[in-house]
Amino acid sequence: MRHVVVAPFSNSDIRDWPPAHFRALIARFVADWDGLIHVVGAPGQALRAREIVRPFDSGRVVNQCGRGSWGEAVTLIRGAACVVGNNSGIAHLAAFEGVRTVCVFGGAHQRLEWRPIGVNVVTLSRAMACSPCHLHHAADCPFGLACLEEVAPGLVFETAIRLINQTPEEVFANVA
Amino acid sequence: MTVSPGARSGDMLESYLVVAPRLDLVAGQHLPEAGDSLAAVYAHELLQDEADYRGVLQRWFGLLKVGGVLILTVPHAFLDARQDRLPLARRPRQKRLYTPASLLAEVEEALNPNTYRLRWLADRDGGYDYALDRETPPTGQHGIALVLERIEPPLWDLAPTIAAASDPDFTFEPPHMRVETMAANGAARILLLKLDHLGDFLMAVPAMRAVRSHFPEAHITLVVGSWNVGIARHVAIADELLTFDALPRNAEEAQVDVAGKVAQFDALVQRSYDLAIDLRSFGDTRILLRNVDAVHKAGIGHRGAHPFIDIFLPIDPASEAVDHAWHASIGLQEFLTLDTCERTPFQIACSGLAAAEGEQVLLWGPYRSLVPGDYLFQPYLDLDFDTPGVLAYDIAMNAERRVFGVFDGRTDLLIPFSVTGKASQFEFRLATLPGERPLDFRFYGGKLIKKGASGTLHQSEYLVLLVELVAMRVKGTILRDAKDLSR
Repeated sequence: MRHVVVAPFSNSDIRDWPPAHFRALIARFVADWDGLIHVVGAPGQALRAREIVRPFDSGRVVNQCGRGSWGEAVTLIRGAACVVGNNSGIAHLAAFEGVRTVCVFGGAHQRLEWRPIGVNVVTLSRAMACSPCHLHHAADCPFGLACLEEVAPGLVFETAIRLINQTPEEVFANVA
Repeated sequence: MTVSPGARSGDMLESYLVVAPRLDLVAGQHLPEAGDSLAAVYAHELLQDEADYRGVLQRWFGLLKVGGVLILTVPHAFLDARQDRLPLARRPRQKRLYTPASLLAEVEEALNPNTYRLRWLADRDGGYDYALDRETPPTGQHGIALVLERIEPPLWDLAPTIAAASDPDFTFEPPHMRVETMAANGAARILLLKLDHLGDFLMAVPAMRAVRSHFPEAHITLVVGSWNVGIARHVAIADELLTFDALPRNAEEAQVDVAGKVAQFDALVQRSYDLAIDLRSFGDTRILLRNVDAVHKAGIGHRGAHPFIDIFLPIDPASEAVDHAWHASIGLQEFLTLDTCERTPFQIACSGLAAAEGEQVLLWGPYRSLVPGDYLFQPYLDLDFDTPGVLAYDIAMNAERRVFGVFDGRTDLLIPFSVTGKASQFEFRLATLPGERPLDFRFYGGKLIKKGASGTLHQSEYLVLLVELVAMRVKGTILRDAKDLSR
């Protein structure tokens, strides 16, 4: 059965798309796509991953956080129809492997410097005058992490589905 | 026969099974509609066969009232199946193997934190015969039991507090959504500019070869000064050679006016190119790219200086900063002075001071600890040489004088000194000489420089880095938005 990989965590929570948005994204995959959704992360991120997967059928949404070896994670990513992640190592790995990747890129860092690179990558970011702020903690953001909060789960899902179904050029001919 | 005593473990299952009213679940059971009412729900060896463990745990738990208990039992992977992977011959429907840790992990994944407390979790092996071989069905208890109590959740949760969004004053760019990808382009026609002199041309040969290596099929047009036609033919990188003397042959004998020759260059270079690269490290010839018809234009420098360039290596090969291992400005607030001098936030001014019998220190500081090495100190000073008097300076390390001098009409002084010992405190002082009136002066702080190169590259290395950057960009890292790709 085909699968997508969702990587909700980076090493700095100011780069993380909000968990509620990841839940909304996964809900769209569960409702409107017929594959498995694997949620990946490090052992230390397992508690937060549980918050994200809790509402979903364990048969569709698999919590891989902290489970398996690095090699198994790479195999999972290589075989994915699409990987959705933050500005984080998994997004870079997926891009490096040529896997179709949607990167939700927060405003803390300069996307021109730090975005994952590859022709199968789509980077979604919010233009904000306060960006890049170079803060490290979400709690320090005075604007409620607007750069990530305002990236809509629907846009991420639609972008992922278009990447899965089409070439990047076709995707962008359709994205307004 | 080796039978576990079991009882030593303090098996508490029976004590929870007396809680009433209790619902004993069976496989495939239709659950009651009304939840939140039961004192106990007992799921005996059911969870292991459910694909959606999160869903069933949430439904079972939802039947409990606050204070009620969910009692789970599952077969133990090490006691029942006695294997570490599926499938199981005796239980082909079983979806997962359990240890206490994996059972608890499923519970923690399924249920919201602080809606329950774990009351009991145990391996149950009462009467278990460990001497039996693996193929013989186990005897005695061979499971795991777990008991949760439903609690009233607290008002707080575990998520970090993030400040509510306010309205930032986004002056420069209205917020909007960017959807971007990268596009891989080719470069069938390339224009290279190498307009400086013989040595510069030769230092650019590795970069030109890198262009050819990255784009082996491309048609390359190389523009050189007329004095470099011979060497350009000899190197044989280009398919077409054009000459253009943007710079004087001998820069010492003629004025450089590249900007004045743009129209002349435009008349020479009229074709369309996929890529145009100026391989001069200094920025004065970059203006020639301004009107070139090229998809991408590249060079060393910054977009602020050359806005028509879209691929630029943002370094300054001419910057003197690379010749300093380290430098720091030292503000005047780090210096002390006599009360007879005047201190403002911007300067320390001493004027009209009388001569003293001995040497008198007028200004001193900043007592910075320096690591061993060679340094320069540049004091920012205005000296009034029209007033009678002299002014001496010295540099001391750990209060021991290392450098001494007297200002002799120059104020742009760079004072060299060395630090050899560890934990050395640097001090700069201005002082009178015995019996001499001091010069009037104004002091603004200074600059401390540690000698040595910090980032110097060879000119040929700058250019190779530029070409590598261009190749990466053109082959796949240039950002494209929706409008670009739909054209």
